[in-house]
Parts: sequence; structure tokens; C-alpha cells
Amino acid sequence: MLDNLILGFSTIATLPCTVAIIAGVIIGIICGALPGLSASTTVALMVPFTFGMDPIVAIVLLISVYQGSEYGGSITSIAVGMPGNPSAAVTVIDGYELTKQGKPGLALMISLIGSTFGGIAGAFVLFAFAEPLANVALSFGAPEYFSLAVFGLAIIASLAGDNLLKGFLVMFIGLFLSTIGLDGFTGEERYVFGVAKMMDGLGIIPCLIGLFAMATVFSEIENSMDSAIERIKVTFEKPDMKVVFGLWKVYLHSSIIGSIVGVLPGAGATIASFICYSEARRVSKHKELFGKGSLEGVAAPECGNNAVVGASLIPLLTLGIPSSATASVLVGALMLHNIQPGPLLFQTNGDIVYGIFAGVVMSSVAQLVFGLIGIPVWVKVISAPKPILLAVITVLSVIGSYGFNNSIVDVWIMLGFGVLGYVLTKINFPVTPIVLGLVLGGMMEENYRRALMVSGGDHSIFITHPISAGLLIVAALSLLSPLLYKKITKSTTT
Amino acid sequence: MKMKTFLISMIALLGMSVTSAQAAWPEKPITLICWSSAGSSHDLMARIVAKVSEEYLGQPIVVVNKEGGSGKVAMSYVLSQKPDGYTIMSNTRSMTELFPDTTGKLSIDDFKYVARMVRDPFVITVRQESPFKTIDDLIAFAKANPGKVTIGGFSVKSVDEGLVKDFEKAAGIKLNYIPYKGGSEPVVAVLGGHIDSVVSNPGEVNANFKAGKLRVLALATEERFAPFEDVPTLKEKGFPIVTEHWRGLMVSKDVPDEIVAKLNAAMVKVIAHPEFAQFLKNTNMYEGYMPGAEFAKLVKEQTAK
Repeated sequence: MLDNLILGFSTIATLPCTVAIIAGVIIGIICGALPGLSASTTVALMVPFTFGMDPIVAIVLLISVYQGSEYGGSITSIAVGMPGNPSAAVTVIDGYELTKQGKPGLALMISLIGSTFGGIAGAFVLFAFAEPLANVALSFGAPEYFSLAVFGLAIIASLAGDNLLKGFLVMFIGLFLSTIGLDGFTGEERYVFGVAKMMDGLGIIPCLIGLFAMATVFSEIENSMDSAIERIKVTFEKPDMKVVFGLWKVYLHSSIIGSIVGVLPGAGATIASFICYSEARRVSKHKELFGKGSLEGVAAPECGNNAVVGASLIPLLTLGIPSSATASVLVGALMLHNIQPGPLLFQTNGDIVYGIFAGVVMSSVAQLVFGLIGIPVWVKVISAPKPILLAVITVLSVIGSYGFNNSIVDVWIMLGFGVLGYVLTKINFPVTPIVLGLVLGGMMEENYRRALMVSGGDHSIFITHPISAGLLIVAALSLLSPLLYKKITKSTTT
Repeated sequence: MKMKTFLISMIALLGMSVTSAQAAWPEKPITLICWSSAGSSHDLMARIVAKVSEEYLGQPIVVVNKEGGSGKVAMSYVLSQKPDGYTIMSNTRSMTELFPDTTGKLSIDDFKYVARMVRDPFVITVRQESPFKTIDDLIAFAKANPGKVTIGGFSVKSVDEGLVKDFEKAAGIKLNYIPYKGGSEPVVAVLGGHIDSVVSNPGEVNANFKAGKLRVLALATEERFAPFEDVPTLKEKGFPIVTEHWRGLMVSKDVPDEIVAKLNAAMVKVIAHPEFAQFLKNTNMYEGYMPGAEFAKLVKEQTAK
């Protein structure tokens, strides 16, 4: 085992690899922070640059970009309440709240330390548990994925804040919106209205930008009409590192969850970050702080989505199966460089496999270094005059949603969701449950129908499969536990 | 009089500039529209074609992804651009087969077909633990248990589903076709034992086939091919089914023939280039050059079905 470690680190201990890691992380952080450039898009855009490179340099570069952009997404989430990528959507809830309370430095530091911890934990899982976890990935069929989606939707109990009913309403809007596009089983068009672009459904990125960034801009414009705009005055103060590291339990907990979810093909970083958030809240001693600037609420999703980076490489390297959009780009890139990911890779290209492992570790370290340099800069950005900040956000929102797919339709979708987000906030409804519905709706519907096709229409398939049954029970518990918790605390106080 | 000379000279000038524009093509970077997402195997092909052909065209080719509606968005975009040969697009069988569906807005004749570039054949696969050792086992079981054998593939109304339907008809069996959103998803489901079999391209099964975790039962090609030399073709088994994916290049029908010819000449050189050959080998695809006229005929045949 030690030999493999040494092999891995010595493979990447070259000047080109070092440059690739540093450049990759910096590009990743910046692109991750920009809305519209998600991890998978950024990695895909980098692939052509690797054409002439040595395979290991190319792969290490792409993994560093992946790692950096999973962290980078949280920067804009925390600083301006606009998630840089879908997996940082849930970070907005508590991260942006902390910024409003004048503590952006602390939130950014927790996100960075959490991301680094998660990244290294993911690498460790990749190194030590690749084989057993690959079997976990294979044990998930259609009924299991359906139940996983149901479990994911049950997270609503932690996202909804005080009013579960409102949360449900908003989540169902998201579920409804996820049905737009071509029906995957009959080829029927649903709510397409003759727009060819709509056949693929609503892209998650323009929806996110609209819901968070554009909606914030609309709200701020309204505020500025009522009163003179107050400039948020924040200066960077060195956060109390005792507090940051005091969250180690959350980091550990979220790394484990992130690693397991990351292994499952089709689940990915966004679902992992939601589950980590909800689980962190479930075990937290300060549940009441969630949604009002909880430090754990920032640590959990950010740690979880970086743990996914290493874990998502497990099915890729051991089975040749991409487990996320980003991983499928990596498969393409590996094949371009004549490396066939799959069961034989450990034998044929051991240096590459352990080099990749070392690359995940070193990119986490590089991310820590450059992240630390970045934090005071981001804090300065927040203190920029509001009108300038809002103008920049608007421009970035339009460019980001257009650039996502070079389509003006996405810009209209983004603006539509901006209005939706604004209205929801105005009438005191939570916004994040829409994202939950959008992300999980397709997965749930597709696998429900597929499971019934396999079983010949027999619904018992969901409870006769043990993993599926287990997930459904946990879903029911996590949905009911807040209600029970409330009842118990009520009865003890009275 | 003066006006007349002016007009004549203008027309002459215009004519000259048109011919010289064609003669000099390409004078500026070319945009290659790809309807698949960045990083997909179709996109990778577009990018390698762009990279290699720069050497022969003397101008860079920029790949732009326009996803949506299985290629309808990309096709409408290409037709909306000036037909000057600076906007070209890569096409796939799954895209052109949609022509009958596109409610009269887009048709086969809106495009000129430059060249077919690659072929991607189909194979039928089960997992190692499967009781089906040969395609005959599968057929025999399916005959005795209609609709009991599940077979996965990519999407509905797709080439994959077409192949399954042809196979059912030829063998006189009934299978349970389960559509998936991507090409590798059903392969994962077979590996995990969630479905019995899968139709897919070799690239999706190769790694696990070599590792002995998957067993390829039949090939939907004319001849056997590497690395499946021990596997029979459906043809050998008496089912005349040959189904393959392909990818190529096309342009708007208003692009001058000279430019199409130049593009075609460049593509012939691209296919002969060692870097392109290496790309095909690495991604488990096969060279499938076909000149424009023949290519157009093939598209028409497959669409008419």
C-alpha cells in the first residue's frame, strides 16, 4: 500500500504536474465562482487544452479544475447569495446569512477548510475503499434510485424553515417544472410550446442564477426605492480558527456522506450537498440556528461536495462508469489519451491511478493555499458600493445563463426564475426547495417508471429490494422527526 | 449612361468578389456547431476534426455546442447563418432520423452532406453471471417467456430501440425494452444485474468485456470485428440486421459546391491523419468515410424507414 502511495506521489512530483495542479485549481476556483460555469462545463472546456499534454499531466490538470470549482462555487454563494454552481445552492441559506450578519470572512474560511477536508477525505476513500464502494455503485438499480430521490425530497423538512407546508408547496413547483421537456419513455413533448430548446427541459444553471442572483437584484432595487442604500461595511478580520476547526465533527460526518453519495452514478455533488446539509441539521445541537446563519450549515454542504470529487472517481476508475456529468467528461478525456478506464486500469496503468489519487490530495492542498490568498479579496468585493455590485451581478447573470448553452432562451428562463424567486421571497416562501424539486424530480420519475417496467407494473419492487426499502423508511423518519421533535419539546416545556 | 456603366461595373465587381471569396475560402476562422454537450463522444470527434483539419484548411475551426431538441436547435441555427461556408455542423444518425418528426420546419434537403467520418457499431451484451451463454440461449428463453427478458438501451425512438425492434421481429421474440438517458447507464444496470441485457456501442462495454465482467453475445455488423472476433454477428445467426451509428459533417444547402468540395477534400486528409486514427482507436470508434453524395443517399434511406 505504501509503495502505491509513493508511486502516486512520485508520478506527479514533476514540474509540469505541479504547474498543472496550481493552474487547474486557480482556473477552477475562478470559474466555479462565476455563475454559469459549473464544474462539468469548466472541465469540458479545459479538455481541448490537454490534447498535446502527457496523459498524467492532462488528468491531474482536469481533476484540479474539478476540485477547485467545487470549492469556488461557495465563494459567490456566501459573498453575494448567488451560487456559483448547483452544488453550492444550499450553501446560500446559511452562508449568505452570515455575510449579512457581517461575518463573511468566517463563512468563507469555514467553506475553505471544509472543502479541503472533504477533498482529502474523498481522496482517502478513493485510495482505501475503491473496491467495496464500486460494488455499492452497482447495487443501485431503478427502485433504489427512486427511493434515493424520495429520501432526497424528504430533506425538505430541514430546508423549509418554520413552515413545512410552504416548503412542500415550493418543492412541488420545482417537481412540476422538472417535468418540462421530452418524456424519456414515450418521446412525447411536455410543455415545450414549440420551442426546440425546451425539449431538453429547463437547465438547472439558468434556473439557479435566476432564483438566487436575479431575484436578489430585484429585491435590492425595490429596497433602494424605499430607503437610501446602505453599504455593507465589512473588513476582513482573521477568523477565530478555534471555531473553524471546532467543526471537525461536521467535516468528518459530511465527508462520509459525500463519499457514499458521490460513488452512486447519477447522484452527484448537488444531491450530496443537500443530504449533508440536512444530516448536519439532524444531528446538530443547534438546530434553531439553521437558516439563520449556522456555521455547520456552511461546513456540511461544502465539505460534502468536495468529498464527491474523489469518490466519484471510484466507479470511473474501477468500472469505467462515469458517476456524474463531470466524471463523464473525465472518461472522454482519459480515452483521448489512450487510457481506458475500467477494471483493468489498476493493472495496466497503476501509475496513472495512484497519480490521480495523489493529484486529488495535492489539488486539495493547492486549493487551501490559493483559497487563503483569495478570502480577503472576496471580502473586499462584498464591500463594493451596492449599485456597482448589483450591476456586475446582473451582467454576470445574463452572460452566465447565455454562456451555459449559447442560447438566448436560457436568458429568458433565467429572468423568469428571477421574478419567481423575487415573488416567493416577497410573500415569505423559501426558495431553495425549488432546486430540490428540479434536481430530484427527473431522477425520481425516470426511475419510478423504469422500476415498474422491469417489475411488470408491480409496486412491491420498491419494498422487496432491501436498499430501496431502507431508504424509504429513513425518508419517512426524517420527514416525521422534526414534527415529533416539536411535539416532544412542546410537551416537555409545558 | 453613367448609371448603367456604374451598375454594370458594380455587378461585375460583385461577381468577382463572390468568385474570389469562394476561391480564397477559408479566409477567417470557421465555426463548427455540435449539438451534443461538451465532453460527449460526439463532441470529442468534432474537436479532433477541428484540430486536425486546421492543418489542411489553414484556418482555425472553433467548436460551439448548441444543445437542445436532439439537434433541432443546432440545425435551425446553422440554417439561420449566412451560407458562406464559415458555419458548418457535425451530424449524427440519431439527429437526422428525426427529420420526419420536425413538423415540416426542417428537412433533409435543407442540408448538403460533406462527408461521413466515423461509424459506431452495436453489440448485444449480458453480464458474466448471466445464464445466457450465447445469443441462442437468450432467444430460446425469450421464446418460452415472452416479455420476460429485459434489454436496456439509449432513449426511445432511437437507433438502439430500432435495433431491438428489428431483432424481435427477425427472431420472432418479445423482449422488454427499457430506455435510459445515457448510453452507459444501461451497461451499469447490466453489470449490477438489474436488467438482463443491453444494446450499446463497443466503447461502453469494452473495458468490462476485457476484464471478463461482461459477455458480448452478438454483433449487429456485416463482419466480425476486433476485439470481438469470437462473437458471432446476427447475420451469421440468420438475422439480417446491420445497425450502426455514424457521425459526419453537413452544411446549409445554400453553401456553394466548391466550398463543400474543399471541405470534403480536407476531411479525406483528416481521416488519413495518424492522430485521427489514434483517436478512433482510443475511443473504440471505427473509420466510416463516405463521400457527400453517397452519405446523402444513406441519410435519405435511413430517414425514409
